[in-house]
Amino acid sequence: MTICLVSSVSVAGERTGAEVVKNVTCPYCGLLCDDIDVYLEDGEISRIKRGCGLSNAKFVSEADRIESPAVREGEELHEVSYGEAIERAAEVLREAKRPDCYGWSSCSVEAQGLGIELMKEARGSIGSTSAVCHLPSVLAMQDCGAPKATLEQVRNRADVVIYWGSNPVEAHPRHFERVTRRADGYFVKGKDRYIAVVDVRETLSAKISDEFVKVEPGGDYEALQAMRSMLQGNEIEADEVGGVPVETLGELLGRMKDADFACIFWGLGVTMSGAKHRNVEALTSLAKELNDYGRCVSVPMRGHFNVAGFGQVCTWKTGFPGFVDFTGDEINYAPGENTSVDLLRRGGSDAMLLVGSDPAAHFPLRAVKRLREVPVVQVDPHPNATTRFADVVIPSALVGIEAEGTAYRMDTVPIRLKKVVDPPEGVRTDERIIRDVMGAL
Amino acid sequence: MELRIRNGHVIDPASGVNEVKDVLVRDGKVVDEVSRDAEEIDASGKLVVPGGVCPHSHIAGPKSNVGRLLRPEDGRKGTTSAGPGGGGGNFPESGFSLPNTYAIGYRYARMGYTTVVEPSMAPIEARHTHEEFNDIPIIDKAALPEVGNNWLLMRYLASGDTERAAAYAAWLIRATRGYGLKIVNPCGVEQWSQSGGNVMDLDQSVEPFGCTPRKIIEGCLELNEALGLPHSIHLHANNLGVPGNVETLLESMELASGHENDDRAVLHATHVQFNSYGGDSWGTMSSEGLSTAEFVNRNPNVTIDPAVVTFKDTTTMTGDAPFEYNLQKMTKGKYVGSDVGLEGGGGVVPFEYKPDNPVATIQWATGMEAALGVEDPWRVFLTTDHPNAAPFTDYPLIMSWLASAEERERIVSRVHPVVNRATAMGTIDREYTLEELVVITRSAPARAYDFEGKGHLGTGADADVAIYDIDPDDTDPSRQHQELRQKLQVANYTVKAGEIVQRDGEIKSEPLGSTHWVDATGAIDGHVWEDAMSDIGDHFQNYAIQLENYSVQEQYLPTGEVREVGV
Repeated sequence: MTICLVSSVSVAGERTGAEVVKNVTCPYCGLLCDDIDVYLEDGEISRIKRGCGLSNAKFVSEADRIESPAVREGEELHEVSYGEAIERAAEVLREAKRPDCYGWSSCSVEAQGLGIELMKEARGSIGSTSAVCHLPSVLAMQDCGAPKATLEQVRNRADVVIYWGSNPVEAHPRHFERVTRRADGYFVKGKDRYIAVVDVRETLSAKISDEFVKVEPGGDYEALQAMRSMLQGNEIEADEVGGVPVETLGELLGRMKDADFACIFWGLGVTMSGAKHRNVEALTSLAKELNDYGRCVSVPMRGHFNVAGFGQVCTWKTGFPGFVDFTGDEINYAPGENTSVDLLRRGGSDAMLLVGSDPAAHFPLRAVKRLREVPVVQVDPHPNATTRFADVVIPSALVGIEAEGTAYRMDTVPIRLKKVVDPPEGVRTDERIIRDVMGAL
Repeated sequence: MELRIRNGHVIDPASGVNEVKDVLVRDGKVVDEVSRDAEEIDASGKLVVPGGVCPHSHIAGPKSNVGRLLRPEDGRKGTTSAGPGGGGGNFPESGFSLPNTYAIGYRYARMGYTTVVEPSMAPIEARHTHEEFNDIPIIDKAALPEVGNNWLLMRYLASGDTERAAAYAAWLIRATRGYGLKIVNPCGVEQWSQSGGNVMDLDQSVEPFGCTPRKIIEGCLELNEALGLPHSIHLHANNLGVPGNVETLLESMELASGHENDDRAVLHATHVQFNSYGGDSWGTMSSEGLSTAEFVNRNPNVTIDPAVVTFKDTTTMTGDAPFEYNLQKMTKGKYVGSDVGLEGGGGVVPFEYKPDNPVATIQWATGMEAALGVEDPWRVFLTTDHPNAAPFTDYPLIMSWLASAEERERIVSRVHPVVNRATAMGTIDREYTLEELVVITRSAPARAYDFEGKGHLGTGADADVAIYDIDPDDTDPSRQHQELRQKLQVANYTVKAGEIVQRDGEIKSEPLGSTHWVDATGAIDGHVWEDAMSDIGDHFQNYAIQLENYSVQEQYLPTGEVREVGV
């Protein structure tokens, strides 16, 4: 990056020679902070204000980029023209009997919607990376629902906050600042909130909260159900449940019951351990039942900045939140069968389109083994482990920095992503790429 | 492109037309003449009417979508394939009470409907509503932002500052690209947020705002007319779904007296079926649908829509958060609560209306009585409050009931016997004529929203036309109710903006219809505007989104049509 030598430093320490774009939405985590000031020098981002470390890394750092469209011949990827890469991608989808498409949580809703239309045309299936994070939360929602709330509601009212199986300090670094501990709401000051963390280890979040409740790995379901049972007035005939002293669970429940407004934020510690969607059902049911006493809501700590958006757009377009297949005449929704891991493991898909994801790094070994056997088209800003065997690679712009669009916050409030700089030369947006593949199909 | 719809029996009550004539179309509008090259539809022996206008249907936004998410079992009920041999559309359909966006456009078009209003948009989530609008093909759309539990509006109206309240309302309508003002359980949802409670009467104050439902309704009546908004205020009254609530509804509608508008009513009381119950318990509950209708008959300032129940397994969804919480206590099934900070909330609960259930029977009667009791069809609009009382696809069924006392008698004999004790259904012999059915399904709702080109086929009207295989001169709706229903269910042709979009159930073309929104900020004086903007800035200290990023950007309105008022 070139350094702009002519810029001077003002009294406040701000570079006056730089251009500032204010209130930019950070495309990193599901909190979607939209108050970032981005400083530009010579058309490049020099620094940002108000962002967290994760945000800073995304806006300012120079992570590797895929520089050119490429097609594999033998062991090697060879640079090709954009048009040729699009043609090859369309060919892969055309020749497959059952193509599958995966990724999407780092794309705009606009691109995600086009992806769904593309897979409808290609008679394949599509899902998002929620398959390996909050899919159990979706299944729990379909079993029993949940009392939800926007972050504004929590910020203004919650006097008791529980982070269960989530570690915001490291995964959503500004959550304490913008929603809970350091956020003064209309009805409650940040410092007056009672904040507890329930987790299997004492995380950084636990260290700076009012209480840490240590649950044994896989013990969340039992602990939550014990609390539900106590709420019904039952006595628990044990000293501890899920590794937590019953007395501690009772005290925590009492806090929530006596609260004017409680909120449980839950993360992957709940969705990806032990009883998975049953954990979430127990958690959201507890939250719902507490409304007979005071108010209580529950909000999932969604990870990627627009993983929630895929669930939204897929639901309105197809009626289902992902894991839909268009191979028959009608839309078929089958989580657990249509998720990419399941398809790969049983050899159910014969080509993959990956948009903004790295399954080679995150999928189980057997699924990755199959992934290496089928033709793979990768659309991504960055090279990753999957690039090493992808057959067609198309570089894409970073949405929220180099392209605009829509993303859904963890509480499903939609927020505009801005474009602050141009993408590298020749690099297109996900939207454009998907549209072009559809055209070539 | 030109089109001649030849020799059909045209019923266009807004233009005073009920005769055999041609309807001529050029470039999306109804015109006086077309060239000899015009495409021709032979409509001999058929009914030709303006495209349907649905004034209240939850088709898009967070509530619809969380409903779909909650109920994959409903999604699976309506799956059909795309393309020829299927529904004809580009995209496969899903859902019964919760159709996917494509199915919403296709199914309305099949029934001959071309314009639909989404009546409940949480302002902070307005972008979501517009995103779904852009995936609903064919029909024109508009949406009403909810204001009845909005902190800033409550503060203004508690202190009687209707000037700044009007400025904020105009700002909010523009920010959300909305069309008018929706009030849901005023103050009740805020009370729910605070304590899990509700408000029970019009003078119950919600602290620290010091606001009451009466102040909200009266204030909004005043500012709505001051702004010159095309639609009246749209009220979901307090105490929804509770025996004895008709008193609250009547008292709320009474507030319209003293407010006037030459072109339309000043207050629209929506889904009155849910607000027109007598009695004081589920055991003593009765229908007061006729009381509500009689109030409308005496007060030309007020319009209603009934929300008729059709005994289906459907889905309730409303901004009335405490109502949904209480409903799930009864159903003991799935429930989504959706609190929206500073602005209100909502919820979704699946619900099946069973004909052998006394409450569902009374609810059916209440909606039917409200619709049958209003003498002037220009002041009652056909709805099911989709999907709350029934999916919108049941409109033809309800039209056949309104037209046939004989069919209603058959239903009365088959539902719970409470129908004889607690309702007036056995005593009503009114039958809607075809022309009256046309009024309540297009002409009247179009006028209520002042959709200038809709609801009529006069020169210059939007060429939104429905053609049904019904010969008005040879049809007795009272006796041929079943046939009437079948033929209204699937129009022979639906024409949208001059284009044939649907023929005999098959989608032929799927243009993206317009999204209509209103900009009334021109009605605000400079200094009032500045004061309100300063207040809005302070108000946003309590949001987790920046003021600059709150308003729905132009990008979300690729087919937006703005109506500027007050300039």
